[in-house]
Amino acid sequence: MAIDFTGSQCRLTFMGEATASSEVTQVAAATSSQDPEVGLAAVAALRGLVEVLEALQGGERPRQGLVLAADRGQARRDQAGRAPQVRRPTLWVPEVLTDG
Amino acid sequence: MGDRFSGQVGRVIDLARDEAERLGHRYVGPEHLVLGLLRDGSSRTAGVLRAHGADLAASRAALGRLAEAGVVPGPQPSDAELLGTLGIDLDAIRRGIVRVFGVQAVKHVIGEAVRARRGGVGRVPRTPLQGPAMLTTQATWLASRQAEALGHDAVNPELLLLGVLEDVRTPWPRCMNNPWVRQLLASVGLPESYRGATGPLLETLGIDLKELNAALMAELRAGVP
Repeated sequence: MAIDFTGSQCRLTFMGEATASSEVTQVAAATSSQDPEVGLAAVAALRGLVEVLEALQGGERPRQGLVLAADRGQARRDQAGRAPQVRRPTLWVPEVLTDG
Repeated sequence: MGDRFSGQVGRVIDLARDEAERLGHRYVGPEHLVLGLLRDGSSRTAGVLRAHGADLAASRAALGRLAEAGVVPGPQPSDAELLGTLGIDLDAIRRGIVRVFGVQAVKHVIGEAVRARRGGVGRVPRTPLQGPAMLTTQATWLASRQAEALGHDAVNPELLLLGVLEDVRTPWPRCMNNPWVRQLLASVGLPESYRGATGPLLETLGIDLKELNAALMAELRAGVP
C-alpha cells in the first residue's frame, strides 16, 4: 500500500524552513502513531515549541556573557551597522581591444 | 481582548474556545462564537437564536455534519496529545519555562516567534505554548464597530452576534490571504479558502440571516433605556 505524503509534506515544508524530508520522516516515524498525518502534525507542533525555546535560550545568552545572534533581526541590524562595502567600478573595455 | 468587550462577551469567548476544544478543533472561528453564545443560555442573544430554531445540541450536530462535508475539519488531536506521541510533556515544559524565564518573557518570545514578518512570513505560524488560533478578529472588530455606530459603551452578546452575522456578509481582508495566514490555516487543518463557517452553519439550521439580523436589531432597540 502506498502512503501519500504529498499533502502533509507540502504543508510541513510550507510551515517552516527547509527541513530535509528524510529528517522529517525519521522524526515522524519515531512517533507512536501509525498515521502519517498525526506524525507530521506532531513534528509541526515540535517545531513551534522549539522555536520558542530557542528564542528563550538565545535571549539568556548575553546575560551569561556569551554572544549569540539567535535573533535574526538583531543579526541583520548588526550587519547593517558595518561599514558599507565599496562597489568596484565597472571595467569598460575599449571596443578596439574586443574587435580582435 | 480590549476593554470595549463586556464581561459577558469574555465569558462567551471562553465558552467558544471550550466548544472548539470539545469538537477537536485547534482554532476558534466565528462559528464557535455562535456555539458559545448558545451555551451562555442566560443572555438575550441565546433566546433570539433559540427562537429562530438554533439550540446548542442542534448547532453542535450541524457543525458535525459540516465537518463530514469538509467545510470545517474533523476532530484533531490537541498539541499536548501530539507532543505526547513524541514523549514530550507540554504542560511540564510550560511550567518549567515560566518558572525560569517568567510569564512576561515567555509571552514576548511567543509573540515574536509567531509574528508575521515582511512578506507575510513568520518563523512559525503558531506554537503549542499558546492557545488555539483565534480566527474571530474580523467578527469582533465588526461587533466593536456596531457598538460605536449604535452608541454602546461596550460590546455585549447581541452586538457580538451582529458582528458575526456581518462577518458572513463581509469578505475577509486581503491580508487574510498572505503566506502567514495560509501557514496558520494549514497548521490547524483548515483549507486556504476558509473564511468562517457561520454562513453554512446557519444555513444547515435553516436560519435566514436577514431575519435573525432584524430580530437582533429589534432586541437591541428594546434594550436601550
